[in-house]
Amino acid sequence: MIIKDYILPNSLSEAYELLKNNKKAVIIAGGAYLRLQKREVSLAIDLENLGLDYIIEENKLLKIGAMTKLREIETNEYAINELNGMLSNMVKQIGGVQLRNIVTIGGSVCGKYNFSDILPSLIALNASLKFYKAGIMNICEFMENDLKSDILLEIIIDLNQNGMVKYFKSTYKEYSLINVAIARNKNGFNIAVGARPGKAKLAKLSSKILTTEKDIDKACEILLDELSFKTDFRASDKYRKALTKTLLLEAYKELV
Amino acid sequence: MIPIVLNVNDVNYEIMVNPGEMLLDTLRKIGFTSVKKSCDTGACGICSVLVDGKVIPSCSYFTMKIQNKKVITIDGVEEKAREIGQFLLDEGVDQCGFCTPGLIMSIIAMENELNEFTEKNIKHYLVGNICRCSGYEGQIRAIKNYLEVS
Repeated sequence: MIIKDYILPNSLSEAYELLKNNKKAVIIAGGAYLRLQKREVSLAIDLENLGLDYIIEENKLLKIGAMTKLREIETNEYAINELNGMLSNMVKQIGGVQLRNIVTIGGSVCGKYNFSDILPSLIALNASLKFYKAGIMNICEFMENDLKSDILLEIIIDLNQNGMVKYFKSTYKEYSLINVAIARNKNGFNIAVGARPGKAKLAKLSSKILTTEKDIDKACEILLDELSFKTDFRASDKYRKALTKTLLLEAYKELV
Repeated sequence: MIPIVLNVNDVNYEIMVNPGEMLLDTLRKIGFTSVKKSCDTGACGICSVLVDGKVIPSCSYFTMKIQNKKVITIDGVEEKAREIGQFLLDEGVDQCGFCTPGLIMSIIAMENELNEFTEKNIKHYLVGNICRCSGYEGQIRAIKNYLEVS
């Protein structure tokens, strides 16, 4: 990536004005993945100095600042002790400790990366995203829409639920071949699958029919039908489907 | 070029950097060639340094982020590095030596951060440090010896 100018604003309003007035500007969070892209950027706006690095719990809502590093999430007491450790588990095999000290949750969400180990869990947990201009938005809505000229501030997760994430990697810190996340709230189950290798998606039909253990085979069958699975250099669609079935069953059993 | 103040091993360097420059390139430019460049994608851990006490791959860290932060390279922890290095030598796993500075920086960060050194904890912490010469068994033995765990 070629960067012509690099600014670290000291306020959100300054960051937003810069973003609005520069069509070719790019927001830098951690920057570790962005820097690998082949593109020319007229202005890099780095959010490092805006105080968006925090994890706080308020009335059973966990609020994670967009600039929070993945290693901080991995080792945070709420991430470890709530939701069966789902938030800690979702990040702990993304690169090594070193990389997780740079990579931020905000950058990972906004990149909407196909290989993301974070998005399936956040989708299953029905996370809310707080933006500077657009305000609060559900993660599924965010995944399906293009949001231009806005800044993600915070990820909000309801802790009044339970969750489990399972992923399969060929080596310890490789990108996942498949990532299955399941959460159970007062309305029922939410299942999301990522690295299929398409963008993580909620399996709506499958989530709806799952109520007790006897539905799990049927739910799995529907899931494999409603989401697309593809072959790439990492794995075949058949292999991904077989893994999904096994991981969903495992996740469900450990969850309930 | 943008003027910045870079604090490395408790010394301030007033330098000019390119807007998109990575910390690894800046460090090497001002003479810290102990910080090696290898994968340049944040995967191998060879370029690891400490920024405010946290271990990071300097190849993946924008230099512009560094103002008001403190960088420690292996040159800044010479005595400790020699001590850890001796344990690696004793197991014969220094081999080509290219990855050793990065590994030692990660070991120092791990020692400061973790409370319990089980084999699982050690492996989880150091999986981001790749050695192309060997199979890691020797390194694990050396690190356990250094940390005095069995």
